Amino acid sequence: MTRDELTVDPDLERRLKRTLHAVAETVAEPADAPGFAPSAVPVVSHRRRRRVVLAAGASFVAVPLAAFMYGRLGSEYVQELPPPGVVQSGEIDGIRYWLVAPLHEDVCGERMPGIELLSDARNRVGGEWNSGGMAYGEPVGDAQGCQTMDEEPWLADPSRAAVSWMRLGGEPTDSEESGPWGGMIAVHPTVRSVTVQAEGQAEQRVSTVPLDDDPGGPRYAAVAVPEDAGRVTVSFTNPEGDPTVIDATDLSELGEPVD
Amino acid sequence: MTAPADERLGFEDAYAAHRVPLLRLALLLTGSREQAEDIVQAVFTAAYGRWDDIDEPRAYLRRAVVNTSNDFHRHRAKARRLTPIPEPVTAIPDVDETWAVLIRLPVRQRTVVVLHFYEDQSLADIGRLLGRPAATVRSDLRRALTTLRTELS
Repeated sequence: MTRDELTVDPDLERRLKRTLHAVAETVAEPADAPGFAPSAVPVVSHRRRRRVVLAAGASFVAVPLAAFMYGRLGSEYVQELPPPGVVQSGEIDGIRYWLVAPLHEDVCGERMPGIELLSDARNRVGGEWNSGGMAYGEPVGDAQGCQTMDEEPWLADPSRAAVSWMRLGGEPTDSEESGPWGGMIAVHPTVRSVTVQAEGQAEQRVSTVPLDDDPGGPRYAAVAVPEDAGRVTVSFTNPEGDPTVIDATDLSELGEPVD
Repeated sequence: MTAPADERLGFEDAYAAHRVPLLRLALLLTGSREQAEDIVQAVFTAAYGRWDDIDEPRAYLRRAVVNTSNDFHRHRAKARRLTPIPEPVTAIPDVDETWAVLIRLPVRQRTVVVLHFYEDQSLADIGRLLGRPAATVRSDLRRALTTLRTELS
């Protein structure tokens, strides 16, 4: 027994184990159980949540992933948490969140650009992925929903960046999103950290990270602020030492997300 | 039939091997045979057709049953049917008495009790499965044991 385990009264432990096994064994082993019959199975409806990431800046692209998602890179369902491809993680109010390489493909079968943010509050093993995504650069989508990004204009101007906010809380099956806010931040490859200042909160300095398959490319960060955070300012210090504000958003004015 | 530990089975064999153990786990988590049946069928249905993509099927199925059972409780709570109705299950007085107390525990506490004392999982493993810190799981278990000790004394 590790120090994390509890010492349990042996009599109570025996009683609990006896009870649980006795109750469990009331489910009988059938002598000739029928095999699996998909057509006869009551299929649980997995209502697909369409997460719309709230835009919070002019130089910004928010990718409503499921809205034009036709495929997934891996399983359509959550097989494990933390998810694969984590580049950054954090926790707020007991909710864990992860910034990950895209889990989704667009309609053209290509990996969605940028990164995705998801939380354990809104994702459960066995359920569908519920995440938000955003990318660096100018969107060059087409009518079919193929999502490519032109990064060149942004790479030529290190002040170009994007911030996107989404709720981290609630439940996977809830229509309402709630709880603390999670921010996705995309910046120039030269920006190694960003500063996040929410009203009434301590300043947060967050390191930025590139994606594994593009180590010299745009860098990303995830940040979380409390549910009642008001105005939140995201900035970084440019190579000349000057503070550059990427975004200033009053989260209380973003309202409820929409499908 | 006993479920093999981590042997890679085809879907049909896995269904035959794991269905009953999963039904038992779901029964303990929900207190309802009907819901246990629905949950296990739903979990296998979700896994059907992508079986080969699931890395550790047995672990996956168990996690899915636990999480789907928790979803079941959330839906019940929303419907304002907060307290499962305990079934007299074994006709063994002290077992039925203990089960009646267990089934009234808050869902989070009962889930930890079931996983720890029935599935023999460590608190760290339970934390990983539920996506909660081990310290939180430990706190849930401590509260559950306090209630059980009081109610059963």
